[in-house]
Formats: sequence, structure tokens, C-alpha cells
Amino acid sequence: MAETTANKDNNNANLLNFVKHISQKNYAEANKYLKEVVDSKLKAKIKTASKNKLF
Amino acid sequence: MSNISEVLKEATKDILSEETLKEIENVFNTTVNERVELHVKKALTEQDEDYSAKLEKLIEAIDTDHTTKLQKVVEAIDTDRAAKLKTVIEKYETALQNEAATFKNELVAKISKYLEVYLENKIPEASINEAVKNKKAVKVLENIRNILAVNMAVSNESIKDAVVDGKNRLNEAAKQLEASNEKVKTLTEELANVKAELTLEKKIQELDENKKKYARKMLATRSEKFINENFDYTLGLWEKNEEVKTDNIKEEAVKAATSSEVDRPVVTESVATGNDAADPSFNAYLSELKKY
Repeated sequence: MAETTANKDNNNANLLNFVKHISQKNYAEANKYLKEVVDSKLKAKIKTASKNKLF
Repeated sequence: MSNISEVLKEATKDILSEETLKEIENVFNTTVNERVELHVKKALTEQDEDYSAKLEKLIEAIDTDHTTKLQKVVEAIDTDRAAKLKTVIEKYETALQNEAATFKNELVAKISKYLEVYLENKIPEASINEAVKNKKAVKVLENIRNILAVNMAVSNESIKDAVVDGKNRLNEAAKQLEASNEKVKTLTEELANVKAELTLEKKIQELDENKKKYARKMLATRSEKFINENFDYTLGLWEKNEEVKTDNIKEEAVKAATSSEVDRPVVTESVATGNDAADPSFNAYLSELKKY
């Protein structure tokens, strides 16, 4: 996985917020942070795939 | 031990009867018993008091001893518990600072890993690669289509000639348009000048020469609109200027006449008659004055 350091830090912060809001039963906020992490991971995957040559 | 009856019997040598002896013995025994009871009671009371005092002392001593011992025990327990609490606090702080951070990082890493595995399971990398490839291919094809369309048009000889011819014509038309615009601009300026001159000439044709000269001098280079708006005002200025000049000349003439009256009163009188109006030198003088 070609996650950059900044991206990884951002994901970790989002996951921490996700756990925090889950423990406080604030599921709407937790969902927001989880969505951001999933989006970020998918974007990283797409970015890695786009670096492959077409032919 | 012999009793009191036998002692009295031997001492009195059978003087006292048996009954008397028994009575004496009874009285004696009774009295002795009473005394004994009294002594016993007294002894018991003293013993009680003594024992009470001793017991109190003993209890105090025991209390003091137990208190001292309890204090030592409490101090020992306090010290022990304090040491244990310190250990617990240190352990707790260590856990909070190090272990909690480690736990947090591990938890985040595990969740992250789990999400990656879940995403990989639901959206395989091969699918993403394929989708990206498709998207890229579509873009490349669009670009190729654009390039090829232009190249095909240019590569065809007849179309190429037509395109080149069209380009040349366009360039020529653009040049012609530029020249025409320039010409129109020049002609428009010239027309405006001619119109202005014509208007000025129309307006001054009925004026005398001096006014004509003045109006030409002031309005020659102006536009038609400016001439229409300011012609009357310019003439007004000229007339006002002329009036001022005439007034000045009159004043100078009156001054000159007054000064000559002192030296040559006769000449002044002849002026007053009005015969000098026909004098050519007077007219020449006035005409010279009018120039200013």
C-alpha cells in the first residue's frame, strides 16, 4: 500500500476520532470519520493503480 | 486441738457442770465466730480494695502498652499502605503514559489493517486496476481520436489546399479590413474638419473683417459641435474686449484734452464747436486710437 506519511497520520487521527466517538456512542460522528478513512484508503489504492502503465 | 470445754473442765476440776461448760462453749464459739466473720469481712474488703487498685494499675499499664503497640501497628500499616499506594500510582501512571499509548497505537493499527483487509475483500485490487485501466484507455482513445481527426483532414491533399487557400483568404480579408478601417477613420476626421470649417464660414460670412479674423483665430481648429455651442459666446467676448478698448481710448483722449486746455485754451474751444470733425488730422488721430 502506497500510503504517504501525511495520509497515514491523517488516517490514524481519523481512526482515533472514530474510536473516541464510538466509545461515547456518538455514532453519526464516528461514521463520518470512518467514511473519511475508507475514502482515503480507496483513493490511495486508485492512485497506486493509476501509476501502472496502460500498455 | 482440745476445745474450750475440756480446757475449762481441767482448769475448774469438775466445778462446772457439763451443761454450763457446753453453754460456755457455745457462747465462746458464737463470739469467736462473730469476730472471725468480722475479721474475714475486713480482710476481704481490704483485699478487694488492694486488688481493685492493682487491677486499675494493671489495666492502665495494659492500655498504655496496647496504645503504644497499636500506634506502632497503625504507623507500620500506614507506611506499608503508603508505599503500596505509591507503587500503585507509579504503576498506574506508567500504564497511562506508556501502555495506554501503546494500546492506542496497536488498536489504531489493527483497525486500519482490518479496514484494508475488508476493502481488499470487498473491492479487490484487480478490480480497481481494471477500472483505472479502463478509464485511462477511454481518455487515451479520446485524445487519439482528436489527433487523428485533425491529421486526416490535413493529410488529404485536396482538403489541405482548400484549408491553405481559406487561410490565405482570411489573412487577405483581415488586411483589407484593417486598411479600410484606417481609411474610414481618416475620411471621418477629414469630414469632421470640413464640416467644422463650413459651419464656421457660414457663421462668419456676414460679419466684418475684424470679427471674422478674431472668430477664425479662436475657432479654426475646433469641432463643429464646439463652434455651434461657443460661437455666440466668442463673439460676445470680442465685443466686450472692443468696448473696454474704446473706453480706455476715450479716457485717454479726455485726459489729453484736459491737459491741453491749460496750455492752449483756444484749441479746446475750437474742438467744442464741432468744426474739427471734418478735420483730416483729427480723424487720423481717432483712427490711430481705434487700432488699440
